[in-house]
Amino acid sequence: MVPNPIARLDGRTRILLVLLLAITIVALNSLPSAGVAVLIAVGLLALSRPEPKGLSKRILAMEGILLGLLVTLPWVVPGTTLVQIGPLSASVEGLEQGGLLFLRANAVALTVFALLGRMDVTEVGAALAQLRVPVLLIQTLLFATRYVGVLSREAERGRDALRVRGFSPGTNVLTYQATGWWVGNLVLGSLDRAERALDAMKCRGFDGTFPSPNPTPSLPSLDRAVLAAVAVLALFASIRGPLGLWV
Amino acid sequence: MTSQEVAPASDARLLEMRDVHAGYAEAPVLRGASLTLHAGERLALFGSNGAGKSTLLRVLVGLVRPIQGSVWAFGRERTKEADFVSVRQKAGLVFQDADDQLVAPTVLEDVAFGPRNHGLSEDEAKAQAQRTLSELGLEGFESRLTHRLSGGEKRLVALAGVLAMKPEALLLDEPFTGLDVKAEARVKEILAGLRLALLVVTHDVNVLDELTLEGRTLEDGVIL
Repeated sequence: MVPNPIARLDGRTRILLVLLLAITIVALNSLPSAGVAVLIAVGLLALSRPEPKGLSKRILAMEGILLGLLVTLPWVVPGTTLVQIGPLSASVEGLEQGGLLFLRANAVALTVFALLGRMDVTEVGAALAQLRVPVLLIQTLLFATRYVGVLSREAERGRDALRVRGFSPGTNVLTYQATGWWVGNLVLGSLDRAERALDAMKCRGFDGTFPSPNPTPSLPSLDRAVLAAVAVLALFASIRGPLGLWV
Repeated sequence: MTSQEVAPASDARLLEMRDVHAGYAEAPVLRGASLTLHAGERLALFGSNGAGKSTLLRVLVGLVRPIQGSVWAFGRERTKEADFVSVRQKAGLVFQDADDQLVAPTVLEDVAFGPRNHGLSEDEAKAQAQRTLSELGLEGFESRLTHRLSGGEKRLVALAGVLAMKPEALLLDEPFTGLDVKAEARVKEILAGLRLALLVVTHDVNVLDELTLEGRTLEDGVIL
């Protein structure tokens, strides 16, 4: 079994690679180049040895949204008519744009899954801190992941509260009203909880600032080499004309 | 109204669970629990923390589905969500944390919520809510905001919200926890005066005398 080479890279390197590759992929504007980007992303994903169950769930969620785009774009972009249904016409240009978007989004997402998929959120947070990302943003990310579960339990309790009072949803004013209350309570409850969490943090010596992260170790030379190589490749991929990879 | 006037337990079975296993599949908290609540019967359910008392109440009204065993309510077996909608109108569950129970922004809207789910018009529901609030001595609370009430007030309003549905049975999850002496006495006074079947989950053994309850104990997932 080949060890996972991506796991050997520093968290900072992985985040920088994602950034670099994502910007490059988004700049691609031909179907073949975007297709190659998807292939590269699939290759990276294979290298990262993802957990099949979590991965397929993420991919399915993403494709659902993208397919919607692919289906609707041809009908709203003007151009050479491909199919005509009554007053609506699907254009070749629209299909091309949709396809390009589909490939680029897939390439970026698969790259993210490959490079960050096996990191847990505290690792991502630590790497971001070492990259000098503002601590407030990182804490927001960490708290968000911490409280997703709490919030979903709170939502569940709210639903139970409606149910024990004999509520069953239907198409009527009471349902809209109850749904509004439910959402409102969720917001109120979150606000209260945030205040309590802040109080608890204050009791443990929180003064509004977060301690600065540990001194940052420098990037290993392997990481530097990988970053440099990818940066050069990305540059060529972005250049159009005789010097670029896409003539 | 005093507890002496409470109707004697008749043979009518309101709620019943038979050999129920429930909780997480790998570690069910209920492991063969059976319990019957007859019309007018008043039970107290004791058990240590984590014994599954709350789960038992939630199973009876279908918020938790048993892994194994059956739940019967008001004359027939209940298995699906749709079966339990009518059960919850006749068997009112009061949560341990009133904050989990209050759904509407104001007290009157909250207490009227159950009756509106019964199909009453908004005006009828509000009138019924008003009557319930008066019975519990909560006149003047109608337009108060539910999330700004004190802990004791929240408990009383949550109770009012369930009683406004005119249930035949009342299931209460630790109704005295976290209340001051006065609020606790008030809740006990209200419960003592109700002519309903009661199932009270509590740690307070005094309620046996104060509310004329019959004790049951949940231990190791079964009712002793």
